Amino acid sequence: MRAIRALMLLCVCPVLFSPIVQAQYIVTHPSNDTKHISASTLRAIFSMRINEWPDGTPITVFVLDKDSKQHDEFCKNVLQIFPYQLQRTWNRLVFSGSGQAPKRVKSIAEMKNSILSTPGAIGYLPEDTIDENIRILSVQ
Amino acid sequence: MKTFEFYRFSSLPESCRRTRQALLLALGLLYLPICIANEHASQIHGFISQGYTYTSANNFHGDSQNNGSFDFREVGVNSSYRFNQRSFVSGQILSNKAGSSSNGDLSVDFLLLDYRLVTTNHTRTGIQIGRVKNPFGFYNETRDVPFTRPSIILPQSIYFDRTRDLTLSSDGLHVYSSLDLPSSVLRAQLQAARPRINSEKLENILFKTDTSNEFEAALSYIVKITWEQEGRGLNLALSLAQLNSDYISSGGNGMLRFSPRIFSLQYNTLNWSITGEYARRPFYFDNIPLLPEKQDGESYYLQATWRFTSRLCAVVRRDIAYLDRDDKAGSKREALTGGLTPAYSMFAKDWSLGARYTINTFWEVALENHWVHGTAWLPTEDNPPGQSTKEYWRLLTAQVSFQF
Repeated sequence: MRAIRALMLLCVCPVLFSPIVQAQYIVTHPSNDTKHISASTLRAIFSMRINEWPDGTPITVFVLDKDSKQHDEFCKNVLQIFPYQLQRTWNRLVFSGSGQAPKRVKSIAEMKNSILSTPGAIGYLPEDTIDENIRILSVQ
Repeated sequence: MKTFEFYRFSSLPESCRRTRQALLLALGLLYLPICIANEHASQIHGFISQGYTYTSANNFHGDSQNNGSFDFREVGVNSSYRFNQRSFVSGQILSNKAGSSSNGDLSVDFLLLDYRLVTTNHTRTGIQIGRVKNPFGFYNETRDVPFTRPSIILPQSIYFDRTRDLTLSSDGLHVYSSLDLPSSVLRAQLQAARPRINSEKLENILFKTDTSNEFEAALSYIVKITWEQEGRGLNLALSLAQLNSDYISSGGNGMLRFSPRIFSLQYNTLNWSITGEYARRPFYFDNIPLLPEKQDGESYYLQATWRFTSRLCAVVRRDIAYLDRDDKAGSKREALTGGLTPAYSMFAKDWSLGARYTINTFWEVALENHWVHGTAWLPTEDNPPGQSTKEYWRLLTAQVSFQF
């Protein structure tokens, strides 16, 4: 009986303690002046319709792989667009010659480094990677 | 008797056209290394796919009966180079092999300069000059790109593959404008350009044989308005086109006008989407022997896609095509041709079921089956007159694709 209970606990534990995807924050290069952004403008940036900040600095968009849970979380809860809709938009731009795709990075660490080293960059990071070096953009 | 007026351009001599084509191809190939040199401002993308098609009767993608055909291959490479925030140049080279209907030759799919004229907080307006993709329906602009399609074969009632060449892109001017709304985008596109008409291909479709006369493209127009909700919601589009072509014949010149109207509607949720498109496809033939003055085609489909996971999705579709609204059963055409043209070649009703699996960022595989009644969209080159066709047939196709 005790053995069965122990076995059940062992099976349930991984589910209870499986990693929950952290909330994603919009992050930009430290030199970026913009502090707040509307949801609609944010979607226009990640859909590659807007390509420069109000001060004229070119925007470079960084995203994780479409398979990544962080990307999924960012699309659904911050951008409020389905990941497949965003991918569809990027494909249409690239394969009809009407625009370019965002820059894809392979990891959260690479995302952070890219944002810090590219003036005008925008991307997203989980809460625990954010420090005083990086700037957060809040959605109005 | 002329029933309408056209705006005509004088047709270019054949040698001039070939030179223009060769120049375009050379430009397209040459500017790729320029893009590779400057990594920040440039991007390169592409795709390769290989398909296998088996049909229980009739031929599609080559000799697909008996053991099936591997004669279906798509290859494309594109690149773009951004000069500044207002302008960039982009180009794509394509090869499409589909049995005898598409020969796999390299061609310049698009090569254009994009210039943003006006930018405000919520709008962007610009122009594209060069060879531009024809915008109509939900899928035409990226119809040759396997992972942008809802299924391996696009709904044939609207995106006929046998006349694919004519629909790809045109040489001229394209104007676009978009407006950001709180949770949707409104887009308008207007195009005035000369389509790429392959006369031999068009003659095969219309006359079932190559003739000594020529179809030559004339200035044509497309308008497309799109309204797309971001997140759960609708996607609506209206596409109107007027494709004009001169008919040069020793027996007196004529004109062809094709004026399709396509209404497109889609509802998207996280896990599923429903898509429907309806098209009226009127052809007007002026002074072209053997063809009626007008033939009005009608097409529509309804499609449901279910995304089980982010990697696996399934699609089911009912697709109906009538080549002539006034002869939906095809019996008039059969009587007119003394039985040479079977009634079932004037329509096609297709049930299809398919699935797609994304292996990783680069690889995808797909499989689908079509149960078809009618042969309206069978490619003439794979099914020459003289070879018998069957009214009811099945098409099974599988495809592996690679993208970067």
